[in-house]
Amino acid sequence: MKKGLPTWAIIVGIIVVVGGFFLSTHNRLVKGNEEVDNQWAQVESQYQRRFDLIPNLVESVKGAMSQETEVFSKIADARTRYSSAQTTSEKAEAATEVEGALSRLLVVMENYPELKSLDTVKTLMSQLEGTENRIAVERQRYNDQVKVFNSDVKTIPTKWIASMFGFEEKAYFESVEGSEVAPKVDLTK
Amino acid sequence: MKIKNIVISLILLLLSATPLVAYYDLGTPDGYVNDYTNTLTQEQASALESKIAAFEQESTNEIGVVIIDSLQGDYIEHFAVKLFEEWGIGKERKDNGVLILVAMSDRQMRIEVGYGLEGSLTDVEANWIVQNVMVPNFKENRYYEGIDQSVDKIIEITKGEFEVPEDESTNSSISLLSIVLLIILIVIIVKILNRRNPSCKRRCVGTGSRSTSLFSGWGGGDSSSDSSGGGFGGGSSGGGGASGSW
Repeated sequence: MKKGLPTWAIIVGIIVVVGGFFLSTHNRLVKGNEEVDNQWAQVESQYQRRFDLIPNLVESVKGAMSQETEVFSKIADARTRYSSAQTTSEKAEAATEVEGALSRLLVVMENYPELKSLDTVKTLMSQLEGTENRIAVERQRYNDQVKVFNSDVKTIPTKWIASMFGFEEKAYFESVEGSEVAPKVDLTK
Repeated sequence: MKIKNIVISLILLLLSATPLVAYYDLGTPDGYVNDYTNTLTQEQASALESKIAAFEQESTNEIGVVIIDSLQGDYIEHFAVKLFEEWGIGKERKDNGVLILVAMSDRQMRIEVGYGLEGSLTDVEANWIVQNVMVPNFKENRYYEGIDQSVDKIIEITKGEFEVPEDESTNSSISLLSIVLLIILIVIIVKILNRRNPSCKRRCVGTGSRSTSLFSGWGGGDSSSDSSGGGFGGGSSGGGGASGSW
């Protein structure tokens, strides 16, 4: 019987193929994981932007809206909670609260038409509008990344390798109803 | 059982690829000015085109002007981000693009600013352009004037903007190297397997099914190489800018 190659060479070959498959899958998962984290950082930086805008807005409308103490205290509470939040899910939760308090303020502001003609308020509102839209975009992209990563983690054969290296499904950003579209700040009315 | 799982995950993958919202594809851009409604005359469109092209030559910043009839129920913010993403307005990595999107029958407009220009063309400035240049002109049906003056303003505002430093790309060379190494390995293995089986001298080399099915799992490198047609360079935006209606 003619033997072309020794058995060891075949075994080495198989090990290399399987190993290569493991490595590339592992690396892809690491990369995907990294991308999701990076996208979350984008969401957070937009949250921070909003967070920084709020005091200015509150300051510039507080005078005219002195009776609306409840709205302002809600905003202050939500901000405190956001700045003390540690984990991703805590942050997401606190951010949703900030959102609620903020949209309440915007609704109440409708009753003060004179405010909307102030230049400082106009400026702040267009900044806020831009920020809210950015949050919506980055959040959507976060969910898109998570979708890609999760379907990878859940698909065979990647699934086996993922569980071997401890990669888990990531949580989607579940927004409050309607918040996938930025709140409208309309100054023209 | 396992096959069933695979089929299910494949179906899930297919489903996950379908978009949820009403953005529709506009096809590939034809230059910087894309008027799908014939709102602008030929001369007006080409005047805008050459103004924007000259600005691009000078600053590398790209301005896209798009006039569509209807958003078909989508929000203009969402539509603008999607279109920006699809066309890649602005240079890659610099993200120095601006999109002026006008939806005629919705009577809405938006200036969407790429990441790289957010510092020089702020939301407040974009909003100012929308409210003080576009809206008043559009109300009088002076669409060309509104767009032309907006482009002027954008050029004015972004002039003197520093170029966003390009970060060097490192990963592409690595993945190329590993792909080459893998291919070499596969070739060796296929040769080994063929040599064991003397009945195939030539035929068996690379007769696909085994090796391709192995490969399909490996390829998943960069999907970002998906090129954007037309004159745009692959920039991206993140929802900066301002919208309005007339």
